[in-house]
Amino acid sequence: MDGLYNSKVMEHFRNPRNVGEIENPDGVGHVGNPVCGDIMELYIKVNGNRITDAKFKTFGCGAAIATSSMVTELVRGKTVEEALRISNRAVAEALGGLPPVKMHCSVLAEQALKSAIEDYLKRRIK
Amino acid sequence: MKSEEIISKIMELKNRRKAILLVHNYQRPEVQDISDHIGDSLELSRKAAKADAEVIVFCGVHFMAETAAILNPDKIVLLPEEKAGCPMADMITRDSLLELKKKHPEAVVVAYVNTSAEVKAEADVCCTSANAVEIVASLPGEKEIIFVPDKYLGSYVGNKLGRKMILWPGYCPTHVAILAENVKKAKSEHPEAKVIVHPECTTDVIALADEVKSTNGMCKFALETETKEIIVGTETGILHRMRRENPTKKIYPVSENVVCHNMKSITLEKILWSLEDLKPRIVVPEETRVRAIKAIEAMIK
Repeated sequence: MDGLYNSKVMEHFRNPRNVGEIENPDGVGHVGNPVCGDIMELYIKVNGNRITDAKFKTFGCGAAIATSSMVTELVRGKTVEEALRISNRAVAEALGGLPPVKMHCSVLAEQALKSAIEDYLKRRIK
Repeated sequence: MKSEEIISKIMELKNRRKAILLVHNYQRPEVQDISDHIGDSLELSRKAAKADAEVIVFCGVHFMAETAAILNPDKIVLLPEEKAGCPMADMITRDSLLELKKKHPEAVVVAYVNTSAEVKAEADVCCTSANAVEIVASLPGEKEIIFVPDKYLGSYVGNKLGRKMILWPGYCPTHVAILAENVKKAKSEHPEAKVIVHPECTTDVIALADEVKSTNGMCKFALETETKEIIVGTETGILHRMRRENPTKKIYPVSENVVCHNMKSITLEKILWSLEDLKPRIVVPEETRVRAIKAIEAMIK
């Protein structure tokens, strides 16, 4: 597997950051890729307008774990609006690049984040 | 039930209920295809006011159905999915606007139509993305202006007119996710194409566009332009209408991911249920309605 992924991706796969659930989250994103079977769940905590905590639970390949780990790292401390502007490319670049066949994992991570924010924006109303 | 069955039931009930189906440009293709009118929120509400119908089924989001209810107090207004909201409209409440007005008691309040009826009731004049520049330009030059809730539409208008306004920090989560890098990539893939974007996009995205237009403005542009290729920077639902109206032109989204899930939450099934039960019904309290309609009428004038 070391041949497929760079060392940074491997490092986030072996020691993923922010694994788990957040109790009483402000937003939860749940996405899955029906083709490869990866499933991601992303939890966020928002204080004021800033994302103070993010955790994830992912069932999937090494790249799915690494991109989930990286997106939770990227999003912490950002405003909700800044977080909406984290693209899949930004996640992949922060990992030092992904093999082309695994780019869809970064798309999934972006979608999980957007879905969690959408949930947060919905919950705020009532 | 097959969708053809659902559609024929919708059509039958629509006649029986004397209903009209108003559909926003961002709705699902299959919903657009059964519309009586398709367009942007204000145009649709105006159509509704003229229509000889007893029931309005508004396939859009909550504030749009509210606007239809403000303009059509004698008609039943239905929103097939009650939870279809506008996150931007929800970023400002009546109370928070009142607080801001207290700090600037002399200011004129311009409210984008993407606001609740309660917020419109506290505004002096409404605007749409099609007429925002015109509306602000019509206000006396010495007047301070509060513009709510979209800071990007507000900055676009302010930059265009060279006028400073007090902006509310709201934004559309769908449009802010369009990045300058998406536009640059689309341009490099289709170098001949013209780029049109919505004014809810961020300032850096607007700077890369050839034209900045409302959804109806985009559709009109697509029909009239000599250009054969267009890159569209807004919710991707609009592509269905544009491609149907311009079969010989190539129309590309700036990114496939520009999707408003609130808009997409309305389905054929929900439209049918809504017509069967005459709910969820959107009602604006009369006291709010008469105040909100003043801001809308001030815009139409």
